[in-house]
Amino acid sequence: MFVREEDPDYLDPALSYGLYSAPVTEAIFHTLLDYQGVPGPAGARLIPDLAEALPDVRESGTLYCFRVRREARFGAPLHRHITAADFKYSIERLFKVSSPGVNFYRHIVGADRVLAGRDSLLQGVIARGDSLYIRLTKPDPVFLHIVSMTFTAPLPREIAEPYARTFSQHTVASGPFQVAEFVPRRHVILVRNPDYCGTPAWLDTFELRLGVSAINGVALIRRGLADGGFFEVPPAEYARLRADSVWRGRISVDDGLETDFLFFNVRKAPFNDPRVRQAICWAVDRRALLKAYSGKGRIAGEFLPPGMPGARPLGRYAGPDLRRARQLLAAAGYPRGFRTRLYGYTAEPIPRLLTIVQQQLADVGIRADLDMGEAVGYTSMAQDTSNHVPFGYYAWTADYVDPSNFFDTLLNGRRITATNNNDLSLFDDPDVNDRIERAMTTADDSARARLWREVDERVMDQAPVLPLVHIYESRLYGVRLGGWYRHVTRLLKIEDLYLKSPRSGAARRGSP
Amino acid sequence: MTTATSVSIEAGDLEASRQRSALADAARRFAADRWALAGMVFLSLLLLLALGAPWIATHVLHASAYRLAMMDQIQVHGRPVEVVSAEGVPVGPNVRFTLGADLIGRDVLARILYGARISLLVSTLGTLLAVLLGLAVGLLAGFYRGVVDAILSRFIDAMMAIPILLLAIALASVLRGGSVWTVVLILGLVNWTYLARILRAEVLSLREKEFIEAARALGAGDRRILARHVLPNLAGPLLVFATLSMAGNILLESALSFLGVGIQSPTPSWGNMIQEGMGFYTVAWWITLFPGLAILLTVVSLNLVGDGLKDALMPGSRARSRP
Amino acid sequence: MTVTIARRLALSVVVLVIVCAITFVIFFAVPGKPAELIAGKYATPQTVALIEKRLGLDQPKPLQFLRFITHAARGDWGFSYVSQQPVLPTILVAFPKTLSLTLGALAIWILLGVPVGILSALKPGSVWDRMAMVGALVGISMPAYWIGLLFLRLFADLLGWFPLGDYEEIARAGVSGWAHHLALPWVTLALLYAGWYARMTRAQMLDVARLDYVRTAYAKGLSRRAVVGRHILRNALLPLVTMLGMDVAYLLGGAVLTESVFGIPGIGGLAWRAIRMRDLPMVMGTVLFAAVFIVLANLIVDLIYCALDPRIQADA
Repeated sequence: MFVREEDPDYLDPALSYGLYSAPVTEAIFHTLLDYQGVPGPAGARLIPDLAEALPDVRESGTLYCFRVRREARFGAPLHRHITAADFKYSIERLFKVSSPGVNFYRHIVGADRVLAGRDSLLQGVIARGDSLYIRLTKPDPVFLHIVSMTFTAPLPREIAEPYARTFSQHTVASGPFQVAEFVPRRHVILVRNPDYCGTPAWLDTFELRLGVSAINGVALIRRGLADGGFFEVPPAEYARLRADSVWRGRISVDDGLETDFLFFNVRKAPFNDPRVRQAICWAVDRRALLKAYSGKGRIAGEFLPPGMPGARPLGRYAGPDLRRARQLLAAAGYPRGFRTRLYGYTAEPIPRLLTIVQQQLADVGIRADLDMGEAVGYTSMAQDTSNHVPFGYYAWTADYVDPSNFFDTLLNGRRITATNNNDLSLFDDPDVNDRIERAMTTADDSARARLWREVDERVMDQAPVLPLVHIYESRLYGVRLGGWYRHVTRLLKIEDLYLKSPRSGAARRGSP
Repeated sequence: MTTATSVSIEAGDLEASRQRSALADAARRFAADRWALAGMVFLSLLLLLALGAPWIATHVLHASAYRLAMMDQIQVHGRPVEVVSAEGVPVGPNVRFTLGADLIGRDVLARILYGARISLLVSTLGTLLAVLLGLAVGLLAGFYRGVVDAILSRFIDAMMAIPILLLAIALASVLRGGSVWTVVLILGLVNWTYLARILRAEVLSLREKEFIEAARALGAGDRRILARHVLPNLAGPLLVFATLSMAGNILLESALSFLGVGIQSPTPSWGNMIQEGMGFYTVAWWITLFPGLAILLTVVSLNLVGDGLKDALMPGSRARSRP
Repeated sequence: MTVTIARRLALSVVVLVIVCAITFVIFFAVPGKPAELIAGKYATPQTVALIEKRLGLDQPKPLQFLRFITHAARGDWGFSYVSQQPVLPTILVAFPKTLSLTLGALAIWILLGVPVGILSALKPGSVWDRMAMVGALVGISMPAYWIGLLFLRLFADLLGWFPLGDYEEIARAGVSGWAHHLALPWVTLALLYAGWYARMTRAQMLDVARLDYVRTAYAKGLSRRAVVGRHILRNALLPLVTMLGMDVAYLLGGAVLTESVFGIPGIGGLAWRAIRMRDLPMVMGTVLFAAVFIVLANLIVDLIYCALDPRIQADA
């Protein structure tokens, strides 16, 4: 039995997009491909799930051909075979319900027309019996990852259509679990789905109790009344648990594929001079910053989180080196420093974090006034280039497991837009842009990893961003739970969980 | 001088001297109230500490309310310990940090002293604003009655129908920025309605009294009546309200800062100190305990003084507020 | 009498409309577009525009206000920008939690505050009186959230007697589980109000005791008990009932501080989150909901006074 404070945002594969709802939605809805259920970077390997095999990729990467498995079936109450048309319906539905995932599928042929409302059917997705064809406007090496997101999970038109807004209460499963009960604010109960054609889950029943805060969750797990929870272990509890010999082994601390960083507006003085940016990189003491995160992370000497497959820590700007910082500032023409504004928002622990940065900058003569806004409006404010935000805090968590999600989205100068701009530094280095695009189209894994590392090195040289900390995620698991590990993309695969038998500690099938 | 004028002067003088002796009586009654005096003593002490905070912090405590000492080391039981541990837990009360350190290594006592400045400043100014607004609206509504009163009263009703905290939060979210002035504005905007109602009722009853009639008969204009006859009689309720409102404002400002929409870090406010420490109350209780105690003692003192004033200035109307 | 009631009702509705207007005005001074919030990280200007159109945000403000009022009167309070769920049902789901908190605290503070006040008034100046009033003073001077945290630390964290917050439904955990979770929040909230009520009760009773007709009663030879019971109590408690009505009404609008410290998903938390997320429909909904209670309480209290004391005429 797991606990959680907030309800899953939706039990609808098109609408669900939260870090914490994901494991539940992913247990109910499976799609053509899935990630291998092993810890570590090997978990990023895609294997066929509802599809018979990995797809045929034709026409130089613009046509993907899938075949749906003959045994693939929907769970209760339909129990019928899943056809390619169900996948097509589901993908088209993303556009109809304004799914947050719509932007991932924009380069399917015909998507722009559907988005503009001029078409209701997606031309680029063709379903014939059990064969599904997806045509793209241009080749995309990470398309397989995008297809593996739960957004493409098949949905039966006969149920999804009549219950358009309330699908969460009338779910039809395509994965190893199905929803037995979802009472908002009370619980979600999953039971094993016998119609699932893949490896069955260990547990018979999985209950997610809602309305339990993190701090109570920890208390319940410690007392054995719960087996785990979908929440980040609160910092004070984290400190206490780590001090306890029994419990420190039950905390799963893994790379969260998140980088918290400061960005500089490279088009605005004084940050247009790379020496100024580098000076700040040398002035900041990341060890102190890590304390603001309760030590739940590692110091970032590179932009890409080392948890990314193929990534390696670069250890840049291992400081602080105040002398060097002052030298650089003097060389850039600011021997007595300068004054600027540092932007952030009021979510924990950012105010503390930026106060620390503020003091560290003051030690080299830079006076940074803090501008803390509400979390709600911050992203759109920073993403609007007309605001000319000079210097601010940002954090990025991987949406999918590929370095392009970091570099292409955030640092490719060719992607800069006037609003909703993700390249907050307005960094536009043609050499880096080229390398990014080359890496994105390189097929060979190790060559690609090397190319991304080169991009990272160059980014760290130019310092349009100052990576601070790579955040770890922590989860607490109860004493009798086994099979838990942090999966690199799926976070937690509920189908791999089992309860240890009290006597032998070995795996045992059965309900809690 | 004509008889009429001399009569009015006499009436005016009579009233002025009546007011003066009433004041002397009130002062005597207040001085006899031991608890109220104790409250005054505490508040005076607090004021001194608040004014002298920078000096005290530097020369007496050798600590800083702003300077972070996160990476510093101090001796605890003979062993070197970092002021803030790797897991983000600060040290508790010890030789160097009298009331402990906060989550990023600042001295809690120093911050409490600085916080006193903020709390006192903000609640005083907020009360002032509320008094001005409440006075204006209450006077207008009570004195002119009729349509003016109807409209103003409905407006007051409406503003009082919105829960104070919600109104304050809403205003705070809108007036971006956690600056002192924003909070003062909010406190003023949220509190004036109470005073307006009280004053309106007082003015309504005063209107009917004889000396107003007399003054009117002698040809005194509205403004003169308001200034010389109405206002002085409102001084009592005003003063009491002001004191009690200051107490309420300290609580309200700390509530707003606690919710994150009042005074923003790094400016220390007792409320935001409690909020910062809230996540760690299980392992660093001193960050939340001491600011709260400060609030408690200050508000108790203000309430004691307010009660004393109420008993001193409005003796006939009610029993003493306290034994 | 009916004319008075009708007039009061009409005025109350006017007040409610003004409340909505005030809230509306406050929120439209805000920069930032809620549509962008809904659209998310990868939004494009087209997506934002589409969402604005769907929610009717592209229309002139007075029109939006009018639309809100007319819909609200019919029971349609709109949909939350953030959760896309209908506002009124969401509020109604959160209401029982706030109600539970309020009623439990109410019971405690009345049972605690009023008797203490009465006893103090009966023995003014005694040791008991002094101690009780000191206690009451401390009670009204404490920051609610601070004492809540203190209780949590002491009774929940260190001693483990109570859970660390959260709300438990009767349906799931039975009455004992429900009460167990609410015990600390009840006491926290009650301590504050008990202080006020103790002081008020004492003051009222002492006031009434000095009035003429009470002295007459004593002169007539009635025993102290009879005087207290028949005259003083009844008249002293009437203003208290007024105060009670108002306090309950305010609390039902959501006790933001207590709910946030103890993690109770009531209206306070709803309103608080809505305001910070600029979720205008939800903000309007919660403010309106709270205002209805307060206006209703005012109305009832006014009518009670009119009925009981014909000397007081309904004013303008």
